[in-house]
Amino acid sequence: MNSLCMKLNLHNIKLSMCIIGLIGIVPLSAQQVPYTKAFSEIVIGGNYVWNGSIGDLDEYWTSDHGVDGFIQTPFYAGDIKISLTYIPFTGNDAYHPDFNSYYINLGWKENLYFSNNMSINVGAKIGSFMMSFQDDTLSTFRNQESEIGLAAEAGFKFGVSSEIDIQINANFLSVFTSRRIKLFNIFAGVSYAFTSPKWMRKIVE
Amino acid sequence: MKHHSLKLILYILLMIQFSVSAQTFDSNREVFTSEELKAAGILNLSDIYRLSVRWDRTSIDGYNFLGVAGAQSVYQKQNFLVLINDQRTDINYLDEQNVNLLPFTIDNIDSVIIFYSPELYKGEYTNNGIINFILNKPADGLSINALQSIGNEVGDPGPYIYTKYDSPNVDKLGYIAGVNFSSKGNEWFIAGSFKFAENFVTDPAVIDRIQSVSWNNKTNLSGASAMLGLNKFSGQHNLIFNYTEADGFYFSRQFGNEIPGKRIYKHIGLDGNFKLNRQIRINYYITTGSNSLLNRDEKIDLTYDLEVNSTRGRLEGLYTGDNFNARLGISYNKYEGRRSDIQFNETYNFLKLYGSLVFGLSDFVEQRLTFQTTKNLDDYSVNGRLVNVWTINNNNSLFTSISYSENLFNENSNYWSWSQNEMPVTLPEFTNIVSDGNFSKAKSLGIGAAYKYSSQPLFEIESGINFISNENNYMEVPVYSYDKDKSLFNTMMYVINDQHYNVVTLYSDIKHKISRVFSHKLKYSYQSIIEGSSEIKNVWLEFPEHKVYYSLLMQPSETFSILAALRYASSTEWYEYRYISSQSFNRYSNKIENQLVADLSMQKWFWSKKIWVNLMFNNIFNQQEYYHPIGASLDFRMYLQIHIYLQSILS
Repeated sequence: MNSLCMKLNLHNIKLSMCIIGLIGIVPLSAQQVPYTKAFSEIVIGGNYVWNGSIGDLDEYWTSDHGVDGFIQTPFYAGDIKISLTYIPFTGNDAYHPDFNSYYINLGWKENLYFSNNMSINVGAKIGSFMMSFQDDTLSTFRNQESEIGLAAEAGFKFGVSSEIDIQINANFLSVFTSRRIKLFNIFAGVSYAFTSPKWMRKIVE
Repeated sequence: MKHHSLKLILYILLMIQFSVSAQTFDSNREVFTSEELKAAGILNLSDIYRLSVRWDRTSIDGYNFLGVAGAQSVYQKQNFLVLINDQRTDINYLDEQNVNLLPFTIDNIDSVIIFYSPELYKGEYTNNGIINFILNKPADGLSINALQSIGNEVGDPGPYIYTKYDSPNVDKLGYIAGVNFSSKGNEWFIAGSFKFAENFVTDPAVIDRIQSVSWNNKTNLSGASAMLGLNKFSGQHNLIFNYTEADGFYFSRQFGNEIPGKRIYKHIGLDGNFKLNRQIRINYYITTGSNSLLNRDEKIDLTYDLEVNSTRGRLEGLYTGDNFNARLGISYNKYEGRRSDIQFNETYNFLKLYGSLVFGLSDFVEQRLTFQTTKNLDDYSVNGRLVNVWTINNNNSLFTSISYSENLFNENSNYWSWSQNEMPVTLPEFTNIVSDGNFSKAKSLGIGAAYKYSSQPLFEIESGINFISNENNYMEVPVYSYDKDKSLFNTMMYVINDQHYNVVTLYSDIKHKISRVFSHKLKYSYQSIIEGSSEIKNVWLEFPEHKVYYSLLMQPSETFSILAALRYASSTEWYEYRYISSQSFNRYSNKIENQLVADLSMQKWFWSKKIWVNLMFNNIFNQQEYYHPIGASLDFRMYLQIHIYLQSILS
């Protein structure tokens, strides 16, 4: 694969290939979800977010802790989830205005179960990384920026009961600004699962 | 190859094979269904060219693509036919045909039928390919569909705008919204649609030129369409209205830069048929339309106000026998060019006689013969085509075709045909255009053969070869030089006439269903100019010699699918920009290197197929992707499309 990438002179490929590798390899070893289980349950959850690294942004901004909310369901293979992650950034000086980031994304992950209530998972997310700058000198239009963000994620889940899980995840997010924003985040939180109501299955199936 | 001897061969072939029937396999025809278009993430109508390696396409702004079908023409002559529900409409304006001007979205389309070779189709003979948009048939009761699409391209500065890493902003792209409604009764139907699209020019390759000619960098398009259908008087009758206004930047080859302008397209057409009995049918149509470009927001002195009106009428009889059908028709076309600021009023009239004979020689051999003759003033043209299809057995078919086409210069309705007496546009001083005005009737001979093996639905392979010999063609030979201080191109253009050149094309399409869930397609095309002057060969370098398209579809359920696609095009060279590398200090290059681009799209239906969502990613490895030496670069981009289908809600 590496030689192919080099031959094709693919730029910016490392994260993309890593994610494609995950998608391609993981289902071979993981527990396959029968198609009939797709959308059979809904999981809603929330996480507290610690930002481990903000890459080059560190020179100009400091990140604060954030929060994350998600809704997840079994898919034809693995799980899919939609999540929104909020992380605020504070400027290190007056020249660098504070901004809030909102990463809304669609994710997919595959679970590997060790026992009935313990599993690890790996997956990927893609979405829009929106930035809202606290800068009165910019127009409303320019105050809001958004860019494509791609993330690789791995985590651990422990089932407290048949409905409630505790999860810890780590992800590496690359935002495709002209100079990349690279964030390493750790998530910890709780989720609640319930059988999908019939009306909801009718909508999504 | 001498055309008079080929005419004789064609004549002999016609005499000995004067019978044909409805063909099953046509190597020059390709159909894309609505599902295929949506799965491939088609946003703009002009994205359709992307699906076939037998189209060549170019774009300066990155979202309006201009196409050439089957190497039948060149980018500087955009003259394939555009039809809507079999009704011809004119969108050509001075050799530019932008199908995005049509006032409907991908949501309205049932299928797209494309022809890559000379053909008489629905009473229209063309040497340059056909694209026929078949719109959705209205369902009982009231149906309402809506579409919203939004896209984002990578490369924004983000927070780095406040740092030493600041870079230009890249705005959102691909904003398209559309809504359409339809209703149907026993003997009638009605349908209407509205389309709105908006974009901003921000690409570094384009923005400086735009800022040199305009106070604006925004483009937007608004269009409306209405269709009425009636099953009366022993036949079906359809009335189509189209109206589009598009504020944008229109690249003029003569000017060498973009013109800020308001493009207006209008079309009204009535077509239909009367079935006299089981065997005889009368088809007719009458259409009128106009295309114009009005000035807007320009910073420089340009007057671009030519309005081109077209009127068409056609009447034909169709006789269907037991093993043959025959068609004979007469049509009238009129082009009228007008300018508002100066005395300019030119008109060209064309009278055409055409016919076709389709005959089944046996259960295995089908043949079709078509002809058309056109008269304009004292000149006339003759066109003809003969097709043979051998159905060898259930799996194997063979196709051959031979065609001879002539094109009257005045039929082109382009800059050169309108400028015979007065100039159709007023260009600035820094353009220098030279032509001796000695244009003649272009001639073309095409010979094609194709083979198809099909064991549907699992496997299908089709390969073909075409040879095209052209005579008496003219070609624009511009030299664009970049003025870095003005951020504009200066143009020196001359025209060469009476050019002879031969082109050969090859293609191969393979479709394979791997399993219940997976299927894939591989398409390849090759084209090369094998004879011609050096000027013509230079023009042909603008086309990639090799093109490959591969797609892998994964469909685990009826309501969800993932499509991954790879697109490859070999390098191209644009001789008219041969000096820009040094003139622009390497900002531009006249050579576009090999391009390999990967796309990924995911489609999901919701709510019993009432909502369809497509999330797609183009150029996911962020490779070099652009289609014109001075055109926008298309980096990794993400689009979200949402379609809503409320079918037969009040039935």
